[in-house]
Amino acid sequence: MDDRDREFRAYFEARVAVVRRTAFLLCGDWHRAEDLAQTALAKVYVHWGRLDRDGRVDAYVRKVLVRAVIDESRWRGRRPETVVEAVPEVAQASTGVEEAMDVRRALAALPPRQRAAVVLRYWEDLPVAETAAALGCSEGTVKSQVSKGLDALRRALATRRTVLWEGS
Amino acid sequence: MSDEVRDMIRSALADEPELGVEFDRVVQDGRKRRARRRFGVLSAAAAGIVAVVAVTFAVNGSAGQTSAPPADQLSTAPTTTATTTVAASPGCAVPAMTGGFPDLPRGTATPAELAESGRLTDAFKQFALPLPPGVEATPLQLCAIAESWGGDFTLTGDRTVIVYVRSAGGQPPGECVRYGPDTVCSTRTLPDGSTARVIVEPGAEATLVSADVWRTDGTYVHVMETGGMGSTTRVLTDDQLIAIAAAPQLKVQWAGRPVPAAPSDRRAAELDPVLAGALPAGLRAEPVPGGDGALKFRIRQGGYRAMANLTDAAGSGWVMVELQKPSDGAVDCGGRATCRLVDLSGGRKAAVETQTEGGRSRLFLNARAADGTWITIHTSNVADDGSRSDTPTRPTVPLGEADLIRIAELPALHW
Repeated sequence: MDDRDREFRAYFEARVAVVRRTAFLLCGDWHRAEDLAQTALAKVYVHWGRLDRDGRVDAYVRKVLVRAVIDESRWRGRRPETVVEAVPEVAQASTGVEEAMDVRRALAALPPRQRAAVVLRYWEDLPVAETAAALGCSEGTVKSQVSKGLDALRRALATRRTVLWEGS
Repeated sequence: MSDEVRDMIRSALADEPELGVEFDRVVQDGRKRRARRRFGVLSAAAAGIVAVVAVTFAVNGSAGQTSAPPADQLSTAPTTTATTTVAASPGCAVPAMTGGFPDLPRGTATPAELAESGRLTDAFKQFALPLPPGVEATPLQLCAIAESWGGDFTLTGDRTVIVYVRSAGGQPPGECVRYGPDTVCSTRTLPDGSTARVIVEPGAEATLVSADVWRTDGTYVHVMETGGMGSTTRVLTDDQLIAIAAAPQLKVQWAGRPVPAAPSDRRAAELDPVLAGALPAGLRAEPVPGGDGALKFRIRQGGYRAMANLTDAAGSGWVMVELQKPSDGAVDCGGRATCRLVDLSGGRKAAVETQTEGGRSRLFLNARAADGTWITIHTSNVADDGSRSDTPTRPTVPLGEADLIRIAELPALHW
């Protein structure tokens, strides 16, 4: 293994789990998150020298993830899951996984850019300017997307009892 | 509130499964992408759906050779002509996340593309791979990419062979490209008039070798052998790679779109003088460290790229001019607030964008030439001095918007 691969390996081992989590929050599916993480990290490998030199590896990974999810949503033209308005008649026990599903459903219901803005701001803890750079939009747009996204999340999670529904 | 939202988001990760992303797989994927980019390849960016369809199709098949004949005996014409109706393999689409092919996989495919995928996969089964003794290969499935088809198989010896086919689309046969001082490139004409090009890139990490054949039957085939980390020993010879690329079974039954010429060293050299005289008076163009010369075009990432440091009394800055192959589309700003559209001659548009951060200034211009070539010009107030520093080396960018527009309007600046 040469120096380049050794350096990349150190980065990979430190960040792969974080990258996959962010990918998951953006796309809502662990399998796709694995694919996204692998692709993003493979792209990092391609540009490792330049990115490592510039110290912008994480920013690059975020950009790749966000673009992948947004691009996908464009050509698919649909979301794989849909949140329904009505709560189920049968009360459901609240478990960690169930709550996870609720939050996941609420995130999935957000338009891709709004979801990315919320995840980058509140999960990745990025400043508005860096979120704007990752999304390729203005800081004002980030602020409004985050605001709308949080409102939608609050509404969706008000009952904490959304139901899973496999949409088309 | 920030912690509250973060906690809420964290709860979505409650059932996080065990990590399945493996370092070796990522490096292998990255290495393929890196190799492919040098061959003018884009990579994909989104997850895909694999659609499947069963079809019945007529296949022109022929029994392949058991070993590769010398390239001067090869032909893309079937050695036996028998039209057989067979139930084809189910078609498949390359998932959109997959890198390593010249086209951007859509992740989906039309029924016609899937039918061709199944037909090609079945047809290729009739071809006897020319393999050295003791070497075995996994089956090849050719899945739809985007009016093109590709897949890979692995060989004994930790080597992977990637196969990609599409309609030639009127593309003239490619010429030689040398990506580095160690690159070995050669072209030859096959007996049926097809043109084959072989490029070998020895490297400390892995040896890459590719055979491209522009076939007289209207098909373009790209076959590349690469390997895992430290895999520098080739398994297939030039003739064997060409034999695969010339396999009659890989003839596509697809009209396809017109395809521009592949980039070549010859065209790069033709472009070199185009930028001469385009710089403002008093600005001196100097080579960047490790570069090939000031504003000399080289093939990079499938396009032509020229760079230089630009110096005058105010200091040194940097410029890059890049051409990408002609394709459809319109110049736009993608909703970026820092970007605006300006008019060029002939009714063309250019997107001009300014970025300023920490004293660093960058100016970008994106435009299309009359033939559809995508032109990108990027200048900054940070010279490339080889030190990897991002510290401004002059107060402002060395070229202004008018300069970039003048360059974008040079009539000879095109693919």
